[in-house]
Amino acid sequence: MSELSTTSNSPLPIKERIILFARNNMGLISTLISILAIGLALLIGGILIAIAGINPWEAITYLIKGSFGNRYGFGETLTRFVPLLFCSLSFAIAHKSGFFNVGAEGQLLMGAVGAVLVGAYIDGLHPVLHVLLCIIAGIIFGAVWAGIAGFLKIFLSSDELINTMMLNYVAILLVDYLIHGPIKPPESYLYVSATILPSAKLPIILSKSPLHLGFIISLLVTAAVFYLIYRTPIGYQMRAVGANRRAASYAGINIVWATIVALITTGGLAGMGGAMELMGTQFKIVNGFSAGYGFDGIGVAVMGRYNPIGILLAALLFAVIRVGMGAMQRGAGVPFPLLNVIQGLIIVFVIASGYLTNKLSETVIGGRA
Amino acid sequence: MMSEEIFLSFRNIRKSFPGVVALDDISLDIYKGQIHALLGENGAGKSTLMNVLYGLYHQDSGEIFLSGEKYEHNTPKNAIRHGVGMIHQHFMLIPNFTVLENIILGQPSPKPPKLEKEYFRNEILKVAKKFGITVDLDLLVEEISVGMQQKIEILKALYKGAELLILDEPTSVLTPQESQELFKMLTELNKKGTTIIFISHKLKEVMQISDNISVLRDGKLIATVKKSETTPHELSRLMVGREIITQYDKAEAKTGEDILILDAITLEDHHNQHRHLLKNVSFKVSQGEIVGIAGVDENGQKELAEIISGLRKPTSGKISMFGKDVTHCTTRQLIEMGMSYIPADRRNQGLVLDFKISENAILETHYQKPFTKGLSLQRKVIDKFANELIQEYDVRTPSINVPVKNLSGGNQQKVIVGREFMKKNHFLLVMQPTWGLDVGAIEYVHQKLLEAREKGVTILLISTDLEEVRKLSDRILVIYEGEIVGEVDSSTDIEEIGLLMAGSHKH
Repeated sequence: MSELSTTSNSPLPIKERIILFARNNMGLISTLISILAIGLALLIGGILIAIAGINPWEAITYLIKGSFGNRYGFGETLTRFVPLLFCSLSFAIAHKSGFFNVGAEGQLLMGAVGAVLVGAYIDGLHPVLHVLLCIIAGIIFGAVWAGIAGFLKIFLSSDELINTMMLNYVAILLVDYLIHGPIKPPESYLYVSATILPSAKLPIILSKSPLHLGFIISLLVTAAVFYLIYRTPIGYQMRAVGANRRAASYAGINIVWATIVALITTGGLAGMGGAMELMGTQFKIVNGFSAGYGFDGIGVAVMGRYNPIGILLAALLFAVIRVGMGAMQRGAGVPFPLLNVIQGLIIVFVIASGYLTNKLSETVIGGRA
Repeated sequence: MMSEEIFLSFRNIRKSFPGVVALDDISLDIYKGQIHALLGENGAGKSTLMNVLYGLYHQDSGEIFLSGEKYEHNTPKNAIRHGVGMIHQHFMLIPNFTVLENIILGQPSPKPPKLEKEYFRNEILKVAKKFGITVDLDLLVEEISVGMQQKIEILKALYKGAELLILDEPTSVLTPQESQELFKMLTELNKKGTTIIFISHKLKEVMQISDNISVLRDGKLIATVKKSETTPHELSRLMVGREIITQYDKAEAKTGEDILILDAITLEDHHNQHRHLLKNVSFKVSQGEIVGIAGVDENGQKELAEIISGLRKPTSGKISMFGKDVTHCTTRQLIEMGMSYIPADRRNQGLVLDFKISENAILETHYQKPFTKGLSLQRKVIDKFANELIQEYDVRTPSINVPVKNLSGGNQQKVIVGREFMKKNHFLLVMQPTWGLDVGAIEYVHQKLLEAREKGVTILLISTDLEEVRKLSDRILVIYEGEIVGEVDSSTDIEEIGLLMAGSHKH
């Protein structure tokens, strides 16, 4: 921006000065707008809670206490954070690569299936190896599930939005079938999968809480994903294909290959999220194994504007809401549907603020000369 | 028709976009029944001024008067109601509708809910007869020529009651013959009382057709002159603010071995087996020469470029480059061998608009050393390279971190030219390299191409701008309906090339 700062030596009219300031501080401004949006959503949520006849301050206290106020709640919040983060990374990387993957829910479930197969049925492995194999199985299952939609897109130009969405239902029903028969332990009278062996479980990293090693892994994976997409040639290619397929092909980039890598990554991440949830928290697949993480992940990615810090913060916010709202319901008696409304409000407000930010930056950076 | 009645006047019109003053205090009168040309380079503000009138933008300050009355609430609808008709550079026609359906689009039916096509047909024919336009209303728009489509646009505007026609760069898509036909038609309309504003950056056309000429530069009205009292020379000086080059000095081509050989390239249409997009195309390009392919748009140029660059495979035929059979090579393999490609559509084919300048600078080479080392892109190396590029190729930008979508067309093209010229290249495939650029940028690109030729680079130039092809090429091939219909040299009369471009060899 050197050229711009030199021109600011001469006194500029106030409008130009505001524009110049905004142009140089777009990141700060967009963060402030997002925070304002969340605040507004919570304000409206508070009003709704008050209308329902509950003291909003009491409700907020429970929200914060439940998710942060004690060791267990804190651990639970960060545990919920893990699958949310994986699913939002999955959506974000697909988005950057020009692939609309709304199938993280199904890919996560399939990843859990892969992990349960390795975790429950292969015995006698060293825990490190066993955990690694389970994760790899989760990645492969998730990637294959995304790959089906990818295959249909690449070779038959079939719309991936529909296909990934439909494959969610196929996965949900397939898992349902599996836990009613093939992977149900014969002695169990519940419809669940076999439980993974102790050697496949992720260790707890915060005692007296459910927080497991998956949390650390998820942070490392986030760093790795953004390194991949921004700092490696293949990541560059994925982004180029996502932003302009045609220019990418004119530049000699192999579009099919870039798309395949993007698919493996997006599906693999969701699958890995499923494996983490299984190996760290639930240990077996039950009906309703995923609490809609795959869908929430989309909201997280959009809220986080597809950038690493944004996604980490948004995933944390979602986890806080998920856990804290449980406490609000139990403690203050806020009805659960109302909690969903508040979560929905937050998403809508933040997305709207994103639109506002885009408009603003367009105005500030301006039309072409 | 030299009445002194003012039809339209702009008073102190000012319009700015952030960072740019697009229109700077423009005051201009358009007299009834005249052909008034707006002349200026791209970005001079000609189209912006007309878009303000037509209601696509709103002025920041200033007033517009139509037939003496103050004209406010400028919207396209209101403009049409006031008798202003605009013919955009890109036609607003629906290809798979008939001509009739296109003209009545948006017109309220006399007997709703019935469409009453016959009523409209009669009405339109009346208008067409009055203005002496002959059309077949039942053809599909996609079946008719570009020149005909333009006629339809004009008829559409007249039918809606236009007394003032605005034509924005109307000849940019036409053959020389079609342009002449258009001028004849405009003169005819003008005689019948239609006022015409003719936007162009081509001196010759402006001199041919207009009564009055207003020259715009950098958003300012430089001068308004009567055609009878000016010369092309004066106009060009007013337009660019300096003398422009109309002919390049270039040395005789020192041609070497054949670099590119096309042997009977044929491409069938996917959708229609009997239609050939390219038919038996054979030619050679030798080292150090510029071969131009002239032709009207949509005559197979796009397909030819795609085949040469490895993006598309021919149905039959053989291509060799640098003495190797490359018919089945991928684009990346060709690029690695030393092919450079400047595609026609810089915004969709040449650049990733959302990427920064630095990222676009390495679009083809990002995976090679020194931009990638081990697994990682080397940000510092890339930034240094991009900084060199913007300096050497004079890209006007605050920094290399600006997304290229925020650059002007000329600067975008410089990014592409810089990128292609800074890597090893022996063969350069160039398509429409100056499309939409202003005179300064055009000269710049042309100089770079000539410099490359001096260095022994082989260049195949595909362009619909006949002037450009003639100025740069050593040899010119003319393409028509997917066939090479003739070879001429740059001294050949422009009319003769124009006839070939229009397919006259068939007669």
